[in-house]
Amino acid sequence: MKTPSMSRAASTLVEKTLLGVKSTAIPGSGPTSTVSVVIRGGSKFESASGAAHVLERFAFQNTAKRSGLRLTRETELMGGQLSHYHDRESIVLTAKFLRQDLPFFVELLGDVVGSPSLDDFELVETVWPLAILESRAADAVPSNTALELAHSVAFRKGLGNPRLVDPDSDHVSIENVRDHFAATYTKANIHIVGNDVDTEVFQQLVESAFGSIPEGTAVSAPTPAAFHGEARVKSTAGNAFTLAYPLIGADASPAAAVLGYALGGIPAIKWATSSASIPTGAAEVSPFVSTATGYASYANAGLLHFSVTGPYSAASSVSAAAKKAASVIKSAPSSLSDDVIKRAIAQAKFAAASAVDSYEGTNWAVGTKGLGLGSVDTAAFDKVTPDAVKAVAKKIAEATPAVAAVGKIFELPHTDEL
Amino acid sequence: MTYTQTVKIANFIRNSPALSAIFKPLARVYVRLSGYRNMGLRFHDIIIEETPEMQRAIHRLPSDEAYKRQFRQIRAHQCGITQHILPPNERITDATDIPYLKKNILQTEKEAAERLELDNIFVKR
Repeated sequence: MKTPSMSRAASTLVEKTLLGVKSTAIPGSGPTSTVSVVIRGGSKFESASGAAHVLERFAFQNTAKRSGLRLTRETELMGGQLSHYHDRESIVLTAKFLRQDLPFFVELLGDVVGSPSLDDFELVETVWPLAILESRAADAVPSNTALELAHSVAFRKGLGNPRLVDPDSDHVSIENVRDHFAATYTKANIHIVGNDVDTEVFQQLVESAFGSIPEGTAVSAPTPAAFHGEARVKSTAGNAFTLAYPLIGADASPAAAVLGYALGGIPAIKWATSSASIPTGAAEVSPFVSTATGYASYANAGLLHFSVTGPYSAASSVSAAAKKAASVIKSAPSSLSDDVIKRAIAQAKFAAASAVDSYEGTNWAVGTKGLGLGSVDTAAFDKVTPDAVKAVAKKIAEATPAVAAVGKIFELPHTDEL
Repeated sequence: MTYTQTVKIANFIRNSPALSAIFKPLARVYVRLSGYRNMGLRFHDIIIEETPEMQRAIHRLPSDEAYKRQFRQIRAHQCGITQHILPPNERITDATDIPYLKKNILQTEKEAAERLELDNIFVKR
């Protein structure tokens, strides 16, 4: 059994910088180890749209030392699993494997980060088709599209950059990808986290595998700024209506996440509706309409978003539920009781702790924290007071939201009709 | 015989002065008599292309190279239909008979060989 990771990590992790490579080892003696390379190189930092997504998709492809095929087959033979993903701030490459294979997989990750071939034909033959597939799959879900648009309206540049490639655009060129690689896969922008490893062995291996990658400088993105506005995109996949509130600097606090749970909640039972006001309101309108609330936390910024989604035929119900949600947000400062806020703190803390309570989750949290990116600090929820949450609620009730409507846009409401 | 094997044999001949002395003049005669250059083709335009490796190799050409390859092939067809050969200034010469597919074919054949090797690998544990 694993103990809650953040608390364990906080007490035992061993951080070290060797030859300019930042790494953190979390000692352990379990049967498997998980090593992640967290790279400050998400879509926020890209100079050409889609470069971060394509570069992430280039993970575990051909390198100078071996082909992508050999790399995959060797991993199969050893019994391991390679995975990669990216978000707005980071690219994460992870290898999970049997404990004794640590030297092989650290060397492999060093190879993948240090000397990928990044060939034009690989982009055309394997990477680009997968990238557009991923992008189309995400676009097929209206709530994804709405959240994506909300980011773009709320932040414009940096965090507002699209997370995935635009499948209808021209290719992201291989030069764009190589530029993003040269800027971000450097010692200044990576943090290597080994979970359940032998600390000293891990650090020696990291030193030899990553010691020769370029020094580089920390990449920077435009300072986040908050905007409001409206984006409307027609879609026949369904209706989604998102109200998003960008929060900058000190406003981007755990209290904002708590406010999300106070108004949106999470259902305690599968398929059920939470008893918080926004989902309850939506359930009164129609059983086909659902709501989702979330708080995306970034470095020095955050986005609190409330979404209402429903099938394409239920545009009027989605509109009614969206109007109800807007009125709930407007009346929140006066209607929120301390009891509701305390429940929300517990829910927010649980959700945050549960998200990082896996090897991969811990690695992500430790790595992003090491790089100064938006991360999760479970302990911070203990310090949230009802007054702080009410202050955020007041701020948001007075603010104009960034609004995204996807679906039957001629029926979904406009911002001023809410 | 794969293209990779052909290249190996060619390199062996090139490295041996005695073999070079025999094969180089022979090769020149062979190329002249086969006549593809008179129809405006490079040698790499007439390598058999109905294999997965060749298809991939051709697909990996930059778009301008691929266009020129098609142009040469269509021009050669036209020569064939009209029973003509090109005027001397348009024919391919030693200098313009460039092995432009060499890198790509070696690469795709290497990939195929590696896949075959890995598919049939026997691991001793």
